[in-house]
Amino acid sequence: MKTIFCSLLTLFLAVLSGCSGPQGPEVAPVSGKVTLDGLPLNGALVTFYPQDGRPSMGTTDSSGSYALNYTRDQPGAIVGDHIVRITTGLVSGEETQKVKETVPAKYNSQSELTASVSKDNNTLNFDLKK
Amino acid sequence: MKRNAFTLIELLVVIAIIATLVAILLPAVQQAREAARRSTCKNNLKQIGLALHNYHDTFNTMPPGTMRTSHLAWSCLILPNLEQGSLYDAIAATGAFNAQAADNTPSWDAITDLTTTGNRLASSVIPSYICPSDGGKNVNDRLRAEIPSGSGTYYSFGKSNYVGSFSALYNNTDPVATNAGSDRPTVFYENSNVKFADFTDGLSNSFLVTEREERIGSGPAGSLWIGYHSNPGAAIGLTIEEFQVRFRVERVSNDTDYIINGDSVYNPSSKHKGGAQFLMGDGAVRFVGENINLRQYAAIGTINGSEVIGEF
Repeated sequence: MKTIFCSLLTLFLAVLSGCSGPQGPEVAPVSGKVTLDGLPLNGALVTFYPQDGRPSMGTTDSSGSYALNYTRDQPGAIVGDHIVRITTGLVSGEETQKVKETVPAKYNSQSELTASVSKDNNTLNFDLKK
Repeated sequence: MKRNAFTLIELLVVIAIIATLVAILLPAVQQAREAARRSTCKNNLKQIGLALHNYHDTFNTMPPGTMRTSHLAWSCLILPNLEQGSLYDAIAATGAFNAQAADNTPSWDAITDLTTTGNRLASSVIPSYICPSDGGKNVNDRLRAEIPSGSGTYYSFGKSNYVGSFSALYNNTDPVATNAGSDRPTVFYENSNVKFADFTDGLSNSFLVTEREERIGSGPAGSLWIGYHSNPGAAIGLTIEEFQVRFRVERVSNDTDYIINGDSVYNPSSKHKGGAQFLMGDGAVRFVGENINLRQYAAIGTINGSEVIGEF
């Protein structure tokens, strides 16, 4: 009797374990440091645009460090190749550009920067040159 | 040995199984409730779609997104088509629809019969404009107005969770770029009169209306069904007050401010998990996931961009 109960319970739990799974595209954590001519770049928006899907973004702090967010509750970026844009010419919402862009256009509007996000933790540092 | 009672072990196992079952079931019940709320929200959008089509049948044009002088929104003008004819007539009786730039007639928030006295018509609650997932009150406290300005007295007006499409990013040459191209007006802009014939992309391939949640504290501030006003306080800047009732589908600059369920006050957002619902021009309601490719999203947003749109 006991054996039947125990085996039933085990089977039940084994079936249960199949009930959850990952949802949406595969996302991996991304963080790193941005420097401009060797100096940490403060307050820059780092955006990763995947080939297909939602972009991820993060803002650098005074030490130039950033961490990407995919959605509000999910950190990271979609696994795969990205075009990276780094800009300091941030406009808040509907306003027109007020803050001066200090990063050359080849890193933002005409970006030549790319990055590859792998399945594990990613540390991607960008050393920008004027 | 014949026994007619359970042993302790058997009892414990049974209790454990029941406990596990309950543990699985409870979240499932929550999900079922959310699914029901989402389909109510979908029905709201469907009704709005039917009302817009009926409006178009009557006037051969879509309602204006916002009216230049009275600041009333499209959602106020289609009230008769949502079986709110008596409310519409009451608003008309206050003279809100007579506002004209020429004689400087005031905007709706300056008409006291709508805002502060009597029936306070602008605070009326219209269930068709409220997504049940949004929770909170049926009046919008984030977009409350200080009347008169500087008095410290605030009034909240009837909430809407549905905002009209204002512009979309057009870029037919670069399939990847999201910060190049131009912003094209779509359906609901100031004094607009877009006709179905203007949807050269096809009604079923263009957004009309989407959701805007009222997030507590900061971020998306919901909407008002009657229109936008000029005292929205900290929730939304004065120069962009029209965004109380409209949204952009991507933009040539700042594109990351316009993603679905982002943190800005200009984007589509909902409390439904993983995306937001969109009313298409043909009256269909589609759930668009927040993972959608930005270019494709912008391509659906335009009404006359001739983009090739894949499955979404």
